[in-house]
Amino acid sequence: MIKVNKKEFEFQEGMTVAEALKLSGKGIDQMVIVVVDGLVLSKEDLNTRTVTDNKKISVLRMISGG
Amino acid sequence: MTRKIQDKIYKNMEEKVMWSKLTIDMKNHTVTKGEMDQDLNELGGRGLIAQYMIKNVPPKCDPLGSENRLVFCTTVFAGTKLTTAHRMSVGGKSPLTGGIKESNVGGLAAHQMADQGIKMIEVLNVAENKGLWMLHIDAEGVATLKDASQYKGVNNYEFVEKIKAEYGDEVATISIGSAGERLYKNASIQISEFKSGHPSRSAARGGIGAIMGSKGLKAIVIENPKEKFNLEYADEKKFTEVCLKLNKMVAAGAKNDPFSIIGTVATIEVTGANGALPADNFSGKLFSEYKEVGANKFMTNLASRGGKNKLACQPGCAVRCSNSYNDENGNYLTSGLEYETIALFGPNCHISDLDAIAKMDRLCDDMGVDTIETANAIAMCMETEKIQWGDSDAVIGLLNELKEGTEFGNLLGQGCEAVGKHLGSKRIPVVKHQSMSGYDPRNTKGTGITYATSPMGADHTCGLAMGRAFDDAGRSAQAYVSNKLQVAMCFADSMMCIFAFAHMVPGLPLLGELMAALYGGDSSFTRVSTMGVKTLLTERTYNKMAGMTAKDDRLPEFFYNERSIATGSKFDINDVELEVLFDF
Repeated sequence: MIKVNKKEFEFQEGMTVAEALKLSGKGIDQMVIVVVDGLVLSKEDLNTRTVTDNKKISVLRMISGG
Repeated sequence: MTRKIQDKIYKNMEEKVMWSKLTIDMKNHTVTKGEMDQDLNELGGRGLIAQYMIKNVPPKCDPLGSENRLVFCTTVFAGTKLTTAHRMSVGGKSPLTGGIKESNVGGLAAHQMADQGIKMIEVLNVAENKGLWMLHIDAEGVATLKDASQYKGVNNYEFVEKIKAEYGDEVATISIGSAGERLYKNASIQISEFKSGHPSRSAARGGIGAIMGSKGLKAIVIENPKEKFNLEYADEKKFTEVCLKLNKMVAAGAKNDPFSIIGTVATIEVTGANGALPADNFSGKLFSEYKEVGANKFMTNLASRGGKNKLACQPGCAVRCSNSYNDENGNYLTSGLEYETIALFGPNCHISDLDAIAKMDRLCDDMGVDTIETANAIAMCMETEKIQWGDSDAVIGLLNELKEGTEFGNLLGQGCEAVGKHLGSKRIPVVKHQSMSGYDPRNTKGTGITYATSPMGADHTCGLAMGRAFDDAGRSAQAYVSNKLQVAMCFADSMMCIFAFAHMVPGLPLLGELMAALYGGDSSFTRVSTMGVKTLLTERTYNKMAGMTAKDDRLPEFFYNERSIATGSKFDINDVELEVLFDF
């Protein structure tokens, strides 16, 4: 299983973070950061970084400035 | 009505517990405890400061003279269980902007004030003879003004250690460092953080620390009271019910909030990529090394050195965006290392060394200066080649000059505009004499409108419109967003921390119900939004009476003339659009 925020999805071998996000229906725009294993992924990495089974992906929306 | 019931009502009326206020007269060295002003009792934070100022402080007074007042107050919901309701607002006429100033801050002090039953502390007049005093509120609620001359020149970290040694670890402190004593216009007031006690939360903007220094007040020390103040509710059951809903909403939102999971530094990941992050004195360039000062570097350093994030700066916070940052050897260096400090000492000074920035933050908190104003002043030194771009050692050197009070250090203490003018810079990023926070207004134009028109001057807490930065929504939408956000920030800053407030947006009508359950009366949201509009218009009126004009509601020319290299954008909101912004 892959978890994107709270939602769980079936894991598929070789799937990228971008593909997992697409399955979850989470849109990515410039106000969103994606965190896997406690680290922020750059937008370029989303299409190349593959995920392993039981991985959690956090999609975090910036709602205000710091 | 039976006599028995009538007696009970009268008894309850007699026992009705009111908020109190402390009046500190620095001329006569007296402390008076009295009932809170009736007309301000239902207000708090920024809303209270605005009404207090227009009523009590002559707009044309000398900010460092006896007519100015310094006000500390809690929020509308202080004393309740609403998450982040224990933020403290500090107000006065700003020595930096020359207008009204409200600067709000987390930490333990407002919580301790509320537990003591104190809604407001007003500081009047200035001492006739040079000296330093400290207001001490003991566990019995007795407030005394004490001689603090032994703390002259003592900076905030050392001061807090000495106070904790004398009064115990549970004490909350509000203090100024050497910068406030020297009346620097970038001087902050530092508040001790919940649990750690570090003086790392800053009421920083507008030189509010200089007002405290001018009055000869070194600190306010508040002990945890033996008997906690019991707030009276119009309808406690209803309040608890609504409050629980709102707290749950914030807690749920915080689960996916980058500030909660990482910290405000996460903002770098967005602004660094889209050009809103200022680089090399708001040059409009992208800073290619922004990730060196971003979330991953920050989190890696925390993990490898025993640092922590997800810390609450005040009791009961559900967002917990604070952090404790250790040095290379795993020793505590600073806390509350925040986006604004990182953006402005980092990329805006062409510095990509997060540890060096953390050292700068520590120095600033310790002497008590605003990191935003100070970092912008240092960028002026780089812009005019007094020091080289990216030279973090030179920055530390200048901060030490500021701390020591050398001739140039004193100039730095007058803020970005003074330094820029002295060194001949043509690109000085200030509005109403106050320097900009970490967002380039060409690439988040709604924020630029807020910078231009906010009564507070260019500020990061008055309505950042970053989310709409690149929406091709035209000028009117940017102005619309700025207007709505500025009103919202006025009532949010009267009630709670804006980071928690951001998660409450779907439940905004509940805030009206919450007010009615606490104070009685109207439960509609209009009561809340009216507070925001009234606050904003009162602040603008105050500034007008202080002598500000439409010309003060403009960005510096270079934002209109120079294109951002990152995006090709200029700040193109015209004068008419800015002038009609507050035609409600």
